Amino acid sequence: MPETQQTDLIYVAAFALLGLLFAIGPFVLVYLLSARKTRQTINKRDQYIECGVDPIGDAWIRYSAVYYLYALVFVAFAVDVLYLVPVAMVYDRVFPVRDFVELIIFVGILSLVIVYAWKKGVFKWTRRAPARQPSRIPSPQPNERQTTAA
Amino acid sequence: MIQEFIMAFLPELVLLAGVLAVFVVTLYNDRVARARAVSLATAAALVVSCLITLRSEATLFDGAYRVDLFSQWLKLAFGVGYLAVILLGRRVDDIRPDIRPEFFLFLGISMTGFVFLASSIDAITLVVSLELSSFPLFLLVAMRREREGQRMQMESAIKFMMFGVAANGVMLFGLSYLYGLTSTTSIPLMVQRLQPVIDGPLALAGLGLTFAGLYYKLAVFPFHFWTPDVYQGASNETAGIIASMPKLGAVVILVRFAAAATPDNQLITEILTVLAVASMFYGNLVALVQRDLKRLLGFSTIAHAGYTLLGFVALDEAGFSASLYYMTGYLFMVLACFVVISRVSRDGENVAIEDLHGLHRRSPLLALTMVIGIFALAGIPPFVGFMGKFALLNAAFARGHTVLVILAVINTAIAAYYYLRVVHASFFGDRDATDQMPIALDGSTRALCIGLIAIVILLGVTPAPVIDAITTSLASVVAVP
Amino acid sequence: MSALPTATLPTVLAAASAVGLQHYIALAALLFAIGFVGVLIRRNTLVVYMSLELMLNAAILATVAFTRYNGTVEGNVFVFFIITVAAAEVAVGLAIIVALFRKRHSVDVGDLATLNN
Repeated sequence: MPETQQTDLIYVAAFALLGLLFAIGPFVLVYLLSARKTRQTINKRDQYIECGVDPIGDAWIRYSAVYYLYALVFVAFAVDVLYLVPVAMVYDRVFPVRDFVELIIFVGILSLVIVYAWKKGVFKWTRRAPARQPSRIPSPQPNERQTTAA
Repeated sequence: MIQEFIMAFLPELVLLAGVLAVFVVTLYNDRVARARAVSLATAAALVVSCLITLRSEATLFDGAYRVDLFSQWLKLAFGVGYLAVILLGRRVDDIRPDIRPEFFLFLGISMTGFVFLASSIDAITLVVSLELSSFPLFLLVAMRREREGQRMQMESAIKFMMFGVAANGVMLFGLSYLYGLTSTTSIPLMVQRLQPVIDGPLALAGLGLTFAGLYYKLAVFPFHFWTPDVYQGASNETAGIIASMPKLGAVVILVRFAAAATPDNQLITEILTVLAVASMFYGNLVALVQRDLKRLLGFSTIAHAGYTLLGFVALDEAGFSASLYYMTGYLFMVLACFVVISRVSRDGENVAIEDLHGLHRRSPLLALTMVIGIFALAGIPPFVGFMGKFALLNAAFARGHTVLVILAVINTAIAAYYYLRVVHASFFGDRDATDQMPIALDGSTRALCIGLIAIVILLGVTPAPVIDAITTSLASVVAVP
Repeated sequence: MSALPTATLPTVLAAASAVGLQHYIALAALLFAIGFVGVLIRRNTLVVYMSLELMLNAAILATVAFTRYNGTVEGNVFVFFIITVAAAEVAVGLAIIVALFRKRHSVDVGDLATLNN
């Protein structure tokens, strides 16, 4: 086996090892650093997140449909911004003014999404129905759901 | 230079400006009348600008977009269709009240897609304009109002969208193969470079998948299943749009690609023959038992897609121009039928054939429009449907597909049965006078009816100049550079 | 510091070039087939939608592989547009699915059967 390939293989192995360490490391660190003796764990064994505020229910609830509207507005930008990359590559090479104007038109038409959503009140956060009473204990039944999306 | 650009690109600019104006209108609530007025002005301006630029020629956007006679008369057809659809829509009562202005916005966006489609000669512009034209239509179906006894619109929309997106995926996959084979996205170049390798498996797979995606839009037999359901579930105006515009658009793209195959390509001819025969028989036979008028038209669409394929079986210029002529005529015949459906319908409900009983007394003009539309669909002279079928059969016959021609003629006879049922209902059928109120027509509906009748007859009695014009304009599309 | 990437990059590329066009095409065809079968047999509209996206991704993968093989850039531009089209599809599709769910409280294809003959 030639010398260079050998060193390459060593690099690959080193990368793999580092990656593994990066993944396992936090678990080890938590195990070493956490205060297992003094921690208050009564009634908190079933929680997914044990620090901070007590959770007020299952994570598998139905979210309000307003979240989806945000997601849709986001999608409009998330992908279309992709087009700015190729424009940036050739920007200001031949026609500086034209490039700028075209960018303005492109982004302007894109932001019509925001104008529309704003005008139609998507950004006004209104709950359709009152939220369920927060429960102290995480609910074990997945069927019990909030009705805000209805 | 900028002046030449504007001269060539005028219809598109007009349409884009109009759509932006409609968008501004939709920002405020309850502006249906204004949205409609703006759309109407846009459509009229589009038609005029298409007429102005009919003779201009240009290649824009680094060769991705070609303006020539072919594209301009197609834009003209789309523009007239747009105008007709807006008039047909009236105040779009069957759309959910809070989003009625958006109906016109989505219609306008979809029309932009169709107009761009006519000029797209690059796979990229083609895909973009195709999607631009189809996504708003999915939404239009879902926008129908929900009420007692009318709950199928969401289901229709989901079906339409799922199959539509699947067809897109299939077509894109096919296009990626074609691109891989030819290493270009420009369709004329692609077609040219495909010819030496057309019998290779990769080329056949690519073309087959691309065509499958387009056959979905055209509703050819194995890709048809969405058609009747969507027609039934969509509001009457929306069904009218879906029945007319996408078909012409699909034929345009098919023509651009079909030029890759030479007439003596056995395999492609055979596949197309099977598809044509299957769609004609399936569509016509199932249509025989339909009661809902829109479902009936849905199945007849499948049959008409089969007739259109006759032109592609011939795979020569005569066949292509016959297909285009037929589809252009079909656009107006089917719109004529949908005008009647949307006016006869009570409060936007679906119309059964029995609902047409006594139509000649309730509104003679509507009855006349219906009869002419149906006669044209059935292929009875002197309307455009007859001349179109004749041209198609002629093209197929000239290439020696005698059996296919005979089968098509048999199908025309089968179709005549259910078409005549509709005519019988609207002229001779009488029902006890439960719902015999005369239908009052406003001026624009009258104008629309008369205009559509005139177009269907004019295209039918003067086929020669129209077909000649199409053939001439086709030269730039079919001729391999 | 910079010795590490420059030393490995060519060799990595050489190893990668052993994976030829046909591998990519096979993978793309496989993805496409999985997506297509998923569209046909899955009952949940959202899962069907994921399968549809898989089909589009197959197209993207095939195009990118062909672009690299052909040495032209048009394909990459095409991929950009396919990605955008896919995103638009997601937006329109999810909007309709959410609307359907609000009306029917179900996203199962089996519940969509009122329109069958």
